[in-house]
Amino acid sequence: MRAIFENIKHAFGALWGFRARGESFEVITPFPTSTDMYVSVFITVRDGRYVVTDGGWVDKGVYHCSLPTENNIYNRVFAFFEEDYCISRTTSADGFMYLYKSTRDERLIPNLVFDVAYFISAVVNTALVQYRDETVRDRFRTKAGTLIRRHVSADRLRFNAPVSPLAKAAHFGAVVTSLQGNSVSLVNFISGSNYENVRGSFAKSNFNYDLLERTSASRLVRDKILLIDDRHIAAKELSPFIEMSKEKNQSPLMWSTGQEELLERLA
Amino acid sequence: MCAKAKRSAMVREAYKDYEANLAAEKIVDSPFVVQSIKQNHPSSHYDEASITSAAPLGEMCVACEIRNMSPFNYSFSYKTDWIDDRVLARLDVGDGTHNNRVPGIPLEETSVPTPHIHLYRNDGYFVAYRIDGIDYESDEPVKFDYYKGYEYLCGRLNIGCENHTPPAFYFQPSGRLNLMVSDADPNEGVEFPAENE
Repeated sequence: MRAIFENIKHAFGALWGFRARGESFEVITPFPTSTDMYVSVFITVRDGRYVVTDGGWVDKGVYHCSLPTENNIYNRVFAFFEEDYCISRTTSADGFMYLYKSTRDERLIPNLVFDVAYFISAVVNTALVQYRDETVRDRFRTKAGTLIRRHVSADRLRFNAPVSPLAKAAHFGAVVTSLQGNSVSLVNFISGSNYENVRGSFAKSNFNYDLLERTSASRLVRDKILLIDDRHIAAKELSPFIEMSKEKNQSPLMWSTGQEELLERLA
Repeated sequence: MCAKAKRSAMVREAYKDYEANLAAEKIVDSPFVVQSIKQNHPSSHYDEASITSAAPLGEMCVACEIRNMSPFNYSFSYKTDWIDDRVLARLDVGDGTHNNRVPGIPLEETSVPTPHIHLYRNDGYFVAYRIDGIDYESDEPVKFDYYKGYEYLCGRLNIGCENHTPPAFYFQPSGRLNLMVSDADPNEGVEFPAENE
């Protein structure tokens, strides 16, 4: 009996891994993800404070999954774990979300490793659950976001944000400040796996543009772009929506043909 | 025992051919130059170089994907049209530790950090293995660049060149500088404000 127990303890213990990483080090933990990976945390000392972080890996997609932050149910799940494990967040200069905990008490580092690693495992695994139809849309946002990130410097770029704090009610997929800093271009991502979802996506985008029109922040807007995922829906089915958006001085661009124009407009 | 790992019935049935192909001497087009942006994945670069062998398994090639322009974050795949999954072997280098969820592997051996190579086992499961000679606790794994990776892959799979020189590899992304910046420490340069203690 005892031998079986000792074997269990040994096997679990042997899953821990250490890796040198410059000024920090990586701890490979026994916490799994359903994407066939083990969770890592990164430990750094800053002014006598021990910081345990996810290394930005959740947001960077290292765990082979992007968080469905469009989904309210998922956001509640994430907020629950974030609060339950007292996780803090910050953003790196290149725009990635970092999740962390810190302490001045060296004895408590294992507690932090436990909390951060379990938290990562939980938010990654729950992100894999199919929440209605939103994964198609989410993949498109990630894809479009990656394209924009590659061509627009992070200091000019905000995702899922309002134009100004004075017009908080209206949110846009991407808010890109001009090089001169005196105007913004807005991008909404239009996607969905079927006609109804795409229609809803147009409606939501339009609602946000209309809301913005009612505020003084609308004077800052140079370009109101719609980036449309046309990989699942034939363009002609979308024509009534596209015509309407043009009448409202929005610029509809198709993912399959409009990427270059998008980048020119954001330059 | 339930396992989610990838399993190929074709490789299981023709495992002897698979083994023979891996061991056989192979010739790759050299130099292998990676320069194209990957379709549907603009943060990666991807190219292929064809491979010939006396023991062929379909049309073979070696493929390379380099992520985020990093010399330390990439995969080399040994591919063929012989099996549906296309990939016969794959070297993964970069962030993330693989969990071998395959029947019969003791728990303590399921955790496989990078760099690691995926090969088929005789029952058709695709399993990740550590690379001999690497000290996984040092910073050697985060400095295993694509030159080292390609050299390892060619050695492991017996891939050479027509004229018996070592196969050459270059990364030449169009119009961009290829800086050998190590992204070893993800926390570097990030501010972590103190919480209420």
